Amino acid sequence: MLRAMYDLQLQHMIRPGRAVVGEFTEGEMYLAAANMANKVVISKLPAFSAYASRIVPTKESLQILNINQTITALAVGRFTSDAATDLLFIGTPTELVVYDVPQNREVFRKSTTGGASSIAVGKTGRIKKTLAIVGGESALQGFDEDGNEPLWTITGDNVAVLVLFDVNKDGQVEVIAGCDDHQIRVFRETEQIFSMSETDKIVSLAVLKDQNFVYGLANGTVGVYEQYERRWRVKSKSKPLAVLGFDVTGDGEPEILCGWASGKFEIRDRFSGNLLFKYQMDDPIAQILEVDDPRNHHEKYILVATAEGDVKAFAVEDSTSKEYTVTFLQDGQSHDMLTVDGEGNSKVVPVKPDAEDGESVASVANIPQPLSREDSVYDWSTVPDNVEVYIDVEPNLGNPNYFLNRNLPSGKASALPADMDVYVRKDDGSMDGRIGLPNLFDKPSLKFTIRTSDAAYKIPGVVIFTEGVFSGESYYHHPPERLVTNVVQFPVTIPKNLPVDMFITIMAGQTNRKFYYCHGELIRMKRFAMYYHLSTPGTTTAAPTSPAPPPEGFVAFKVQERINRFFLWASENFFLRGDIKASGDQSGGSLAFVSLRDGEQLVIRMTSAGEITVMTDSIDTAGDVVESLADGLTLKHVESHAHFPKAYDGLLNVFSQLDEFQTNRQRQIADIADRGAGIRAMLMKAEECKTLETWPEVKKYYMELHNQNKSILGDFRVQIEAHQKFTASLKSVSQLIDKAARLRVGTPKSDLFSKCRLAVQSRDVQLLVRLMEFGAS
Amino acid sequence: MDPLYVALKLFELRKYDQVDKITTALLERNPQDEALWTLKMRALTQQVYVDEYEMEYEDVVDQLMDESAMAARPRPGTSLRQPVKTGVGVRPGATARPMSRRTGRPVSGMLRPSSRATTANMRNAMTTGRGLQTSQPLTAKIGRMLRQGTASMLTTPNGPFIVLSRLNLAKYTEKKYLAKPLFEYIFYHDHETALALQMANAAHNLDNRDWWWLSRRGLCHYRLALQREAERDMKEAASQQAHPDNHLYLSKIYARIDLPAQAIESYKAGGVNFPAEPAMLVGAARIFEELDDLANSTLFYRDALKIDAMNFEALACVGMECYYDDQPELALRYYRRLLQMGVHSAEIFINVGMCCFVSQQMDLMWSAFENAFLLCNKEQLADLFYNLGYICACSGELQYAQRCFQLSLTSNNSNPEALAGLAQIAYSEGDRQKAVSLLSVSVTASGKEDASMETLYNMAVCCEELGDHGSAFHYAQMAHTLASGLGAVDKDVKDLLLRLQAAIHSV
Repeated sequence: MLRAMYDLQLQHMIRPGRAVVGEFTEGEMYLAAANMANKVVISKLPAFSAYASRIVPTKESLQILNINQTITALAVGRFTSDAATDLLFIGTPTELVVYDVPQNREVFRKSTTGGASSIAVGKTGRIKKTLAIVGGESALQGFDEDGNEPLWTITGDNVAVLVLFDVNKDGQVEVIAGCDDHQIRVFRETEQIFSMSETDKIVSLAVLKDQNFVYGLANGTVGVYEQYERRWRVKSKSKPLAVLGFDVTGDGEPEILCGWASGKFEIRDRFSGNLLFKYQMDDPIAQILEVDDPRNHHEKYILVATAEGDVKAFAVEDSTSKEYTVTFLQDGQSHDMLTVDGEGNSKVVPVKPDAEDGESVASVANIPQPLSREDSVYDWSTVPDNVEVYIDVEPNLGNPNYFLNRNLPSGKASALPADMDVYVRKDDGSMDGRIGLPNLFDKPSLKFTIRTSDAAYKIPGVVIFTEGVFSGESYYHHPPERLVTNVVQFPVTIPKNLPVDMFITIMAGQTNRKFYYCHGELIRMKRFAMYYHLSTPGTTTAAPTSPAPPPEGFVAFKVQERINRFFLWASENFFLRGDIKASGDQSGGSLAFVSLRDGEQLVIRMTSAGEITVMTDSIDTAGDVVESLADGLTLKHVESHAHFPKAYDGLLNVFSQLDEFQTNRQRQIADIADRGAGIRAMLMKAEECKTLETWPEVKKYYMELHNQNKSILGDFRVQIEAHQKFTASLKSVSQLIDKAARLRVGTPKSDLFSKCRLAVQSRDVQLLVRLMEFGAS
Repeated sequence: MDPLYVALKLFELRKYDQVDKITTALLERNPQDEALWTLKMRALTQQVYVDEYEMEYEDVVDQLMDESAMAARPRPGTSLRQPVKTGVGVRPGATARPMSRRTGRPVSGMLRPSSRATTANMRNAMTTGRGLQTSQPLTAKIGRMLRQGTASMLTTPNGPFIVLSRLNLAKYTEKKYLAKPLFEYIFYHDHETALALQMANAAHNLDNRDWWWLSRRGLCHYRLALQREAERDMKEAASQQAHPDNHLYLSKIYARIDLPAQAIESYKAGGVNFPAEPAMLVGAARIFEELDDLANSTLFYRDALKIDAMNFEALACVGMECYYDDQPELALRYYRRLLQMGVHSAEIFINVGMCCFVSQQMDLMWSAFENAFLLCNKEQLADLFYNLGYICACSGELQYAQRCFQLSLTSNNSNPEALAGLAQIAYSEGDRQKAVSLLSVSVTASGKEDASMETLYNMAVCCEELGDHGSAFHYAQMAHTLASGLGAVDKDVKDLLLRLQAAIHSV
């Protein structure tokens, strides 16, 4: 159980996630927190005492650090284990500052590739030195004590959170990076070894035990991974701003402490995700921290910091008790504590584990299983055995000219062979006196067809629950009542080329009945489900594959595999039409697809010599295909020739923009500084006139001040805009490098990163394009 | 002789006026001659050239509205802005080096442009600190570098030599032989820092391996109060070329952003590269002195003296340290050395006189003070009479002492020390009322916040004896906060406070 130790009222707002605890004097612990005014507030933590008390630090006892830039991350740590005190690491949108608090000394200050939105201090991989690992806009950098940079790699997007630990039990510490593109990436030194796809931005990560870690997403999901497998997750409407693994019960197994933006403070079991305890605080919880205070005999305790600057400390007490009780100091101004049990402590009654919070909407284990039956509002009964439920999914191109019409105003050309079957809803407009419905299948999409074998079992509705496809994670399809039959068809669009699991619940029965039969099923969607297979050339239909020009871009590489395995891979990942085995003899084969998302073409060809060519204009799709191929054919080393003129063309433009931006920025900085001096002088004069009470002068100066201020603000806005453009183009460059790297596997991939970086630093566009096209070798 | 040759020779002889005249005449004949143009620029620049690392641009506005320092409330002993609390070199008793009232750091042996006096707030800065001798209003101290064009008007009565706004900077930046003199002209002569920065940026983009441009860009940034940018440039420049200037500038930037530890480190790093350069040692000694680490400070000054036995600053500072360290004879030697080197100023003679007095060499003392009389101006005269008054008071000549203090007041009618001295004499004569009024004048003369602890204590004692316990308590409290603020624990003040508290409670 937890017992309140003290309430530290910092009287400064705390930015969520930006509070840390460090030993800034030998033997004494300090709390450092970033406030809203771009300052770091450092306060000494009170010594352990037997009585809970409310502490308001005096203004003089707080140390304030001016950063003058938005503080994006804070961390503490030391580079050498024999250092007496901790260093404070401060991340801003442009640089990393390492500051020695007791000495008032900057250890170093380094500008980073894309800011520093997350910092972790520790060792990783086989690098001997302790590094400050900084995650920024699309880059991961590691700095050693002297400010050198032995680690640098590209991530797909901004790294919001970082933790260091051995996730895969290989004895080396990996870097786990939670990114804004919904991925949790695992890096071993510079190499990305795994990536877990989530459904929203990662906002928090924390290490538990035995290769387990907990994560929190911006959409309110909290879950636990064991190695690369997700154990469980729960979803809530609020945002989990802070998570921490901490052993509350003293059984050696850490529980999960979770602080939400709504002010909710929870303790959950790490194996099942069951809620053990919850408490509603007045303010959003900004951070939960573990303190190892040497004054307290290294007995660990936790700090819960709210965004309003209220820091509550709790110690584990009576660790043998299995009860989940937490003693609180009463909130508000009063210094009294609630006397409930006569001991001066206010007891909060624990929540029963089964009384799940109303906000949590779903708790899903990763074992495939139908949704639990007890929760359903319907009278669940399985569909009788003699009635079968069929679920069919097929890519549906709909109007074949859907995409072409946009490109070619004539709309005459068709991307498809003449024998394409085009599904048109039969009921449209044919119903007497009724208004026709819009054609659901006009836009290309995946067509779901669900059918019961008995016409009496009509389907009034279908619920699909899946991650990352629908906004809000689930989808309910119900045809108008007059159209309810035993067949239901509806379109679904999957945004990414990822294999997704879909939990489909089908209702079946008579329309006028109060209760329906239900049928649940899990289907695993193919990775490239959103590609429509065009009939292969050389088969009976001799129609040309497409009158549209073939894609310009391609990636080509060689593999040591038989062609059969290639087709096996294709059939596992694509919806193929007809028997491709027949067409695929040993001399090679070719598959042509068109994307249902944007009409982009994709042709994959393999010759008998094992040369695979993936032709598409989208470098992303090519990357997905190569990744999937490497996975399916277990390729360890792929060096490829990647030709994507459209993607590379933009680079030249970006680089000329960069130069221009740099000169502009230098000028603007000087300009603003020059004016700032004038403004400060003016303010001084105005104040002096106020002291002398010469009011007309005061008015004059303040008017002038106002005008100056306005114009400097205008300049500043221009600068900000330019800066945003600059970072966006820098990001686009590194994302392109990332995409180019995805067309390679193994060492060619990591070589490409380092060589591309040198090219970027020397601003050599030609070299960069050459590297991306032909690889680093 | 070829007039250009003559001009070049004169330039070598530092006869810049004449160079200017010759080149102006020649340029009228051939305005396109770049050699002449460069020479004239150099001559004009040299006339107004100052060592940038001895300059201080920080004015009252910067002090009040500057947030470039990282730590707003750093720990004592790690900052140049916080008053020193428990310094390493604090010695108890009367021989402790007095703290400067304004800044809360020890007084130094030399007057320097960089005194990082931080006044608590703007109102304070505006209402106090205006010396009688300077009727200059506070706002005149603002924006020293904003006076553009005045220097050029001074040197060229027929309008500016180069109209910078019409200059094609890009063209001249590419001409390497012209770019550097032109930059210096813009930077030192015309004070067009923004323009100079533009040029330095352009030149740096042309050739980023040239440390000179990097370091100049740093200077421009420093002048524009962009210390972080300046730091980056100087660091880069220092790593490219270990030039003493680069190290000195870097340390200066660190001191400005209140990172004294790093400033000293940078001085030391410079000292490794240039072991025979006293500027590094003197720089480090200055920082130590401001941190109240007087032992280290003196050590560094002495090291500087080993290299350069004619360094005024080091001599004066070591001499002062000796004086307050109860070694007046040694101090005398350092001051004599200064005199030998030709520094004949009233202050030195006053110091010599005081040293003689403390070391009981009365015969020498009088001649020193006589010399000081011959050299001093009005303000120094006030100090001189105050010191004489002190000597008289110490020798029991209260009559003379009184006269001396009064004479001091005639030259500076708000000399708080002289007023306090008069008050002391009045007190010893038993005139409490007079003592109180003199002391209160003394307190207002120095400004309430800046009054010395002793004055406040005396005031409290007088008030107490007059029975005005309320005022006495007020002043005693002020004295107490001041004493504890400087890290000293004064038993007398505490006793007085307790006594007064008891008295007030008993009423």
